[in-house]
Amino acid sequence: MDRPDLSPRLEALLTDARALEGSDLGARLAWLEAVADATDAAALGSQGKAAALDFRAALGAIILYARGKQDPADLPALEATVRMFVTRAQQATFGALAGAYRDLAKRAPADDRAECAALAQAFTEMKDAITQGGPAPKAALDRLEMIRGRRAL
Amino acid sequence: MIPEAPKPSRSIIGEVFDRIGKTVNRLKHDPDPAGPNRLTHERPIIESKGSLFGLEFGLTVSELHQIRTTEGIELVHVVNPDGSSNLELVLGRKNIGKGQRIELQGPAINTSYTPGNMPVGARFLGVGLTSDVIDEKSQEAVSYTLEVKATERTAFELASLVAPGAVAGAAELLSQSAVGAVVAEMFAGAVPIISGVIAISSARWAIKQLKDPEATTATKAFAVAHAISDAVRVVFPIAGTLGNAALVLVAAGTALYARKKAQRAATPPTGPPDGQA
Repeated sequence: MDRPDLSPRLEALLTDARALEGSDLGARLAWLEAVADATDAAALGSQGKAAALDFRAALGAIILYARGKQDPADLPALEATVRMFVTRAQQATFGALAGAYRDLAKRAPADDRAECAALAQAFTEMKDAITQGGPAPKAALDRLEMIRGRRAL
Repeated sequence: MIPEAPKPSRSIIGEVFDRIGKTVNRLKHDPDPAGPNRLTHERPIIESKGSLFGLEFGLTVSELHQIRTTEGIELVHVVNPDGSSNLELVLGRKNIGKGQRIELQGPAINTSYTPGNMPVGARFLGVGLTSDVIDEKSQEAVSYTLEVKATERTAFELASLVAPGAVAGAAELLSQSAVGAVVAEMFAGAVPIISGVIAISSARWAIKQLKDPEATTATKAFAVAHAISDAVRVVFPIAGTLGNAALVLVAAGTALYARKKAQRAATPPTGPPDGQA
C-alpha cells in the first residue's frame, strides 16, 4: 500500500510559513489560527489536544489585548503569556515525538532501530531543555545531524 | 579488676534524635546530595497582585535563603506573611543581562490562611522576571519577582476567545499596534510544532505498516525512512523537506520501474521476429 498523504493541511502550513515570514499581521494571525485548528484535528490523542489548547490560549491572549485598551505597558505581560503557552505546546509536541519514535524503535527493522532510538533520545533531551528554558542541547543536535548526514537528507 | 562504669541510660527517643542528627549532618555536608539541585527558602516581604488577560500578575519582594545553589531545577519553600506555606518548582532560568533573569516556573502547591482565599491552590506554569542581590557569605538575598501565573482554567478561558472571525477582527484592531514582535515570537514557535505533528503522524503510520502482515518489505522500508526524514525536519526544516522530496522521487521511480516491467510482461513483443531484423 502506498503511503497516503498524511497531513496535507500541515504540509501546506509548513510551506506557507516560509512565504509568510515577511507578511502582514492579519495573514500571520490567520496562519496561527490555522495551525491551532490543524494541530487539534491531527488526532494525536491527549498530547495533541493539549498542544492545540495552549496554542489557542496564546492566540486568545492576543485577541484579548486587541479588544482592550492596547496599552503598550501591557505588552511585556502579553509577551510573557504568549511565550508561556507556546513553550507548553512545544513541550507537549516534543514529548509526543519522543514517545512515537520510542515505539517505532521497538518495531523498526534492525537497520533503522538505532536511528529511531537516537531520535527518541534527542527529542526527550530537547523537551527537557525547553522545560528548563535552555537552548536545544548540542548532543541532541549532533545526533540529528549525524542521522541527516548518514541518510544524506 | 575495676568494673566498667555503667553507660548512662538513654531513652529511645534520645537515640532516635541522635541518629536523625547524624543523618542530617551527613546530608548537610554531602557534596552531591539527593533531591533538587537548588533549594531556596523564601519569605515574601511585599506582595502586590493584579489581573490581566485572565492571568494573575504579581510583584513580590522577598528575603531568600539559598540552602543549595547548584545549577538545575530549584525547589522553593515559601513562608507567607500569614504563616501559610507554598512549595514551588523553578524549572529553569535564563540571564538576560543587567542582573535580570527570566525564570520558567513549574508546578506549585499553595496554601493560605487568609479569610476569603482558597485554602489550597495550584499553579501549573508561570514565567517570572527576577533579580536579586546576594550576600555570598551568608547565601542570603533580597529579590524581587514579577511573575505571571496560569491555571488550566485560564488556558480554557483564553482558548474560548478564538471563535470564528475573532482572529480577523483582532488583526484589524491591531493594525496600529506594536504587537508584531509578540506575533513573530508565536510564529517562530509554531513551526517546530507543525513539523513535529507531521513527524508524529509519520511515525504512527510507519508503526501501522510494520504491524501490517500484508504490507510489502519495500512499503515498510519507505514508511520508516519517511518517518526518520520527517523527524530530522523538525530541527532542520529545509533539509528534511528535501529529504522527503528525494524519497518521493525514489518511490515514484520504483513504482515507474515496476509498472514498466509489468507492462512489458503483459504486452506481446512487436516488430519482426528474432533474427529477421
